[in-house]
Amino acid sequence: MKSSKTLYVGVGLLSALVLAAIFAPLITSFDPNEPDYVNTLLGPTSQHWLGTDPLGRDVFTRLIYGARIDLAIGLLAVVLPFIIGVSLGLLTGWRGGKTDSIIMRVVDTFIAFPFYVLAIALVFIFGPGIKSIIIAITLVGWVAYCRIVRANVLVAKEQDYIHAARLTGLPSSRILRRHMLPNVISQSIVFAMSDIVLSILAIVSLGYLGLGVPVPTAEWGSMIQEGQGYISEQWWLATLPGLMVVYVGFSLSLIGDGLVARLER
Amino acid sequence: MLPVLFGISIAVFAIVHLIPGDPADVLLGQNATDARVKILNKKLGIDRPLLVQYFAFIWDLLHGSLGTSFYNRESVTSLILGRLPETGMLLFGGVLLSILIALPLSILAASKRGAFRDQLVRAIPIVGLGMPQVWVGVMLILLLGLRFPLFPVSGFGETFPERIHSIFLPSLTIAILLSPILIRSLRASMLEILDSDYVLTARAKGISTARITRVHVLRNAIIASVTVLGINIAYLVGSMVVVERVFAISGTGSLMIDSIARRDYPIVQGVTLYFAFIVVLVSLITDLIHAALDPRVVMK
Amino acid sequence: MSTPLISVENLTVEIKTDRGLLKAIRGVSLDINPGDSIGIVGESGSGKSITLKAILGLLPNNARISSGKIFVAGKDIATLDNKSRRALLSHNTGMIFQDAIAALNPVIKIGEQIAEVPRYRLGKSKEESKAIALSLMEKVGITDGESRYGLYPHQLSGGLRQRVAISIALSGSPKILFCDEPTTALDVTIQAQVLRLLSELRTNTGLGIVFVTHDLAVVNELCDDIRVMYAGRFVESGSVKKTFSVPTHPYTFSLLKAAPDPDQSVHRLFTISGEAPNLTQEVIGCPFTPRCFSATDQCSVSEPELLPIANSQSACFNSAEHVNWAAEESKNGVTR
Repeated sequence: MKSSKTLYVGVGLLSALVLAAIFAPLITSFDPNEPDYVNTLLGPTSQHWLGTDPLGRDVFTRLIYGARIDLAIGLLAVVLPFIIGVSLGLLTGWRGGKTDSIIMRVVDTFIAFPFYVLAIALVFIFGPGIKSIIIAITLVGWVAYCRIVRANVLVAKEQDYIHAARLTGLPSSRILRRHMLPNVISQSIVFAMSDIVLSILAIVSLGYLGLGVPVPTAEWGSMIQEGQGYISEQWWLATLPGLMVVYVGFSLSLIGDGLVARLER
Repeated sequence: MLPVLFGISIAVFAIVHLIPGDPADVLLGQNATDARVKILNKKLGIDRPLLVQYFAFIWDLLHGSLGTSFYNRESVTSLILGRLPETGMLLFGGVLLSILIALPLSILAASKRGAFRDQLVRAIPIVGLGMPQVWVGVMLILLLGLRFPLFPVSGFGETFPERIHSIFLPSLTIAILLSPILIRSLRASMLEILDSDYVLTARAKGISTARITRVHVLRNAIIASVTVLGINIAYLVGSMVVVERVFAISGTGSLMIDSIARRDYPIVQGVTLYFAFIVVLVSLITDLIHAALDPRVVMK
Repeated sequence: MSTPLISVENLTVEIKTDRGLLKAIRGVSLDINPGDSIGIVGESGSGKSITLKAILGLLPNNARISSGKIFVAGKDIATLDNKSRRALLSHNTGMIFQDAIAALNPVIKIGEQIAEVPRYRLGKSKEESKAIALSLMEKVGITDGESRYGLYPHQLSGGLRQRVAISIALSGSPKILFCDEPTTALDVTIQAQVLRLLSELRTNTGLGIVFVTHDLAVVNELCDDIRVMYAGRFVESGSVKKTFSVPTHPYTFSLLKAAPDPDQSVHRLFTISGEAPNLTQEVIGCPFTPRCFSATDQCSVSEPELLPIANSQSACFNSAEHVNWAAEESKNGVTR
């Protein structure tokens, strides 16, 4: 009962934001990126609900449009690591031996790199932008899935249902896909929920550092950076984009917890 | 550990070779003349075979050399070492404060499972894990730097007390980012410790609650904290890079970001290696601390 | 009759679980005097461990005493504040657990764990405390105490760990030692050694023992009195001698049937077909009815009280009948 509630509340909160982002043009009539030098740094008014930024752009509009960028990239950036990590985890856990020790050495190496440092280095290589962010997150992110799935495979491998499948002489690929995968994937899915949050945090951080989505595109990280200069007067400029991220993190946390409780039953 | 260091060296070496097209083109920008590209290629040694380049890189590395900066001709090693106090104090301060925040809260929560205070502490990771690093920093600047001007909001002082004063907010930022992760694992460990038979034994002995907490619970709890910290070192160090920027501290992270703008590739390479090394080193230190605190662990 | 050292009156304990409120103890009364040796026997989940923990104030957070009283040295412990309750209890009681490795703090030297009570509760000096600890170690048969003082629990064998745990329990010179299946995790020879130690402590120092187990042979060896526990209640109470020869409750009867001859030191876990009742639901009738070989209509309607019968006490409507059976059996020389 309680776990379903957590799950539904989380899904509800997240869908509300996703819908707002998709239908942003219907919710607000302002352009998120077009400066309006007459109306800069306004406080909340009936027209501009959350005021305007130093370039006169409507803050509410930019928050909603920012959700498009941050949510979309955050989600997108998790897909590839998920697929790569789960596949490698299956392979390394199943094959064991040399394959396993080589892949695990690679995993250990990646773990030693602080994610942001690697991401920044990669941005250096590929230049700022969405492409670099996704490459950076993929390059680092698969490691966690690989470790989770490998650990699960090592346990599942010794279970009777796998022994039974092997005895029937099915090809490994079939056993892995049909028998193993459904049993080892759930923990990865739960982790993916928190991983989306981590990706969004990375996008926001890179945006703040000026290494992310190029300006003037509305993005929460660069909004925090732009707002920091006006923090003593227009404190909400930097505060609100951060709260958007906390909102997303909160709803994904609830979804993750709800999934865990559901899977445990 | 050796395979990891080997892997790190390859990864860092690869950074420059991953650059699509001619590295010199990228490093010098679009308007580079052919002559300059040629000079740079020679200087980078990029005209040599890859394996030769790698061994040259390792050779220099073993001699403590990470090359010289393109920007101001300084040795990368000394540039990085020059910023060691900033990095060191931030790392230490962040870890210390995060334990000071997370440990008492976890004990408080676990000591009365399911109670209101437990629910409250359990909510911390749910909200806290979604907080952007830079945002936490900006919020602290707003709150403790401007509204209640208790701490400087940027820079790194000259004298030691000044430095402690100015590193406090950045350290607190790190601590606030790290605490939710610590709390999530520590609360579970605390529940396990408080429910353990050895705590029951201590209670049955009639020892005072204060002593039970201090001696029987805390020691085991600190061991648990060190383990959790060890797992999250990479995250911690990564956050440091970003947080330095928020507080305009000219630490190693800032060095790296500035160098990206200047296309100063030896520094980017050097700092990347340096941070990976810090992660390996700190993990090693946490392992050693763990072994020192826990008699069950035997160091190999 | 003088006041017993520890007196439990109609104790009930509830545990909050995911599946609802579990009535773990449903009205247990027990008097314990110095020099007593009481074995509490029952299946896992019958509430025997919880009974001990409730008496000693060591219930987990999700459990609470919902009614009943516990008197220690004549004082109702519910009326005392935490500190004086703990002082009163620890002055009179000690406890040892099933799993000694879990009961010892993994990161503190065993000597320090033994010396902790003299040092921090009794306020002795460091040297005195160490001397006391060493003599305790000797008392429980830990040879070479001086060199073992500085060892950690994981460096000891299972039998030695349990000896350390016993010496910790004895360090406050308690009058009653509560034992929660302390031999179950040990192999047979070590088990015998620990039992011998406990029985020596009993005869030599007059230590009272309350011993929780599911092993009837152990009770036969160590205890004078027995309480058989089922579904959170005592269903039979009496002397070991009488109960073993003339069991009055069908559950006790089945236990003895299932167990090998208790006079032989063959230890085996007993099994009785059927399952123990779910105590998150209200108990209607005698909870043993579904597994009972002599249940009558009355049994599924109301729950029998623990009443005197043939020199013991039994919570069964048909006790009288069982007494007759047992008499027949012994007359006909049927061996169990």
